[in-house]
Amino acid sequence: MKYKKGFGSHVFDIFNHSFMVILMLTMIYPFWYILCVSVSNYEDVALGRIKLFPRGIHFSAYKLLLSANDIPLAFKNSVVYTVVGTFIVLFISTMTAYVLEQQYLPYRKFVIVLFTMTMFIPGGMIPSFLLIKNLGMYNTMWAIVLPGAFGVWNILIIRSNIRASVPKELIDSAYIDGASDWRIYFTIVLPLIKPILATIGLFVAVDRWNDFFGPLIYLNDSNKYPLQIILRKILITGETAKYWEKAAGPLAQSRQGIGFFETLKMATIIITIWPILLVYPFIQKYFVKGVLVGSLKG
Amino acid sequence: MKKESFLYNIKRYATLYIMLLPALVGFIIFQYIPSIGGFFVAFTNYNLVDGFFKSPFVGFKWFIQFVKDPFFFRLIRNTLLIGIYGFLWGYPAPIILALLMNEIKNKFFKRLTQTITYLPHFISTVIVVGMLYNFFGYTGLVNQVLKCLGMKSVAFVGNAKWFRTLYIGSGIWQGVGWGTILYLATLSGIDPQLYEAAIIDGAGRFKQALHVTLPGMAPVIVVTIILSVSGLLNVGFEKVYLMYSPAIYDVADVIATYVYRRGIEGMDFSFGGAVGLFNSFVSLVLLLMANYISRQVSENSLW
Repeated sequence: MKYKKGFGSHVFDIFNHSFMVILMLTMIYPFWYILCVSVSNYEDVALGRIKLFPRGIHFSAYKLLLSANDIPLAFKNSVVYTVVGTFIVLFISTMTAYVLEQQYLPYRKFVIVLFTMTMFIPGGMIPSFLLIKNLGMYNTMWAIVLPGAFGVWNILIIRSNIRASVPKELIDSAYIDGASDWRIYFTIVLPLIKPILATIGLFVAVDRWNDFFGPLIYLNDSNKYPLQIILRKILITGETAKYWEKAAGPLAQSRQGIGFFETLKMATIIITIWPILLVYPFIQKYFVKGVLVGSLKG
Repeated sequence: MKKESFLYNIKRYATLYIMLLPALVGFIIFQYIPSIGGFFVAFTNYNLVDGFFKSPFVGFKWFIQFVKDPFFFRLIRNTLLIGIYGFLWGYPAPIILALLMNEIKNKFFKRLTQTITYLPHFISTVIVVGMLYNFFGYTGLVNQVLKCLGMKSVAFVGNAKWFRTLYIGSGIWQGVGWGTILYLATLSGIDPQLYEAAIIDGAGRFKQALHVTLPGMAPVIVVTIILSVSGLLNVGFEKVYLMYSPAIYDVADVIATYVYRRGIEGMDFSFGGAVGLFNSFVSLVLLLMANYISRQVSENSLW
């Protein structure tokens, strides 16, 4: 677009770019600051000397957290819930999408309506909780991974993706060659829709990893808690007495003690957040596409 | 066309129906049973022995009890205020940001802005609240900055006066970038010829934004407003639960957290279920009203 830029337009550009830089800083700096504090000297932390760079780098907060039982255990639980949860969502959604894409299948429309209607009916905390109790799933992994696995969005997105990227002739000729639906699904359809699987998989995984509601409502055995629950205890309700006694005991009242407490909290955040930051570049490659498919279908 | 019998169809496409079975069972158990069960819980005296469908019917008892509850007005007020303020501040934010992003001509810079502003969306609520409490704590980063500027420290955390500001502000911080996606997509769909025509007519950048860009976004804006209005009472449970404490129940206790405390912690299942159902019902009414009004004043609506 070519037109002469006026003075006002230049001023606006300068304002706009500066605004964006400041906005980006407010979103990046907190994470950098957390990382810096988590590896800094306790005294410098307590005196608020950490601004742009860590001071006196050491990893004792990490060592302490990883040597206590609950963080490694919670990390393992989080990984299990995330992997199993994501696998279930992908498996069920792709299989269902494949079936619902077979235009000739009787009762197909009815099933689609049945699934789509769930978007408009309310669930509610209490009945969901009672259902999990009645199913005997309370305090088990299944309460965390199953309730969220049946969403109509993923099925619709995958279905439109199958339509776009799996040629119908390919499926037809496989049928003629005597391939079963299972075989077609596993050897033809799944490999062809890998990109959308990666996208949805990453989104679901981040969602599962960050899930707090499910574990809060459905778990009460501390051996089964995922990271988010432990994180709340350390960050928000301040249940850090255990660590306090172990490492800071005599220091508790001193500046170092206060700094230790801060460093410990920040290290907990980093332990929880790094998997997200690690997959973020991969998600960001896909996300615009993924989200758009969702919104266009709506 | 001859209609085949049900059994014949099932047998003929057995494999496909078997593949469909897990989803079918899952949707019925995890979607339909809770929503149908929700009605039964709210209108009966639920007990664990009789379950959803056999507990004794009590009519509107729990709803009446809720309306007479000493906390009724406080809950409605808190929920509505968080919802309304959140809407007033939070709703325009991504639209403004999308308009500003749209004016960035450098592709790399624009992409960088998007990538970085989307990031907070992927951070869990627990971490966002934890960061908030740390940065806004009495000795936190924000108070250090205030001190440097010669101002007094402020007790932001656990302070009833600041609760809503922190809640809504952090919500915007986390969601504003992600919220632009829908609007940016709409903006990229606007016909470039419209801009060319506007330039020929002598419109500057501001006038182009006013007369081409905004009208192009109008349909999406209407839809998102309707959806936001219906969500006014659906103040999320998670974040309030993580941020509140008995000291600030006066401003922070909302319907969802009350349902949790009474229903799940207090095991008052029927009462909690009724309050939850009341909330869903009011949200539905709000949605219908917003849709109706929007259809009267503009030609856009959800249906």
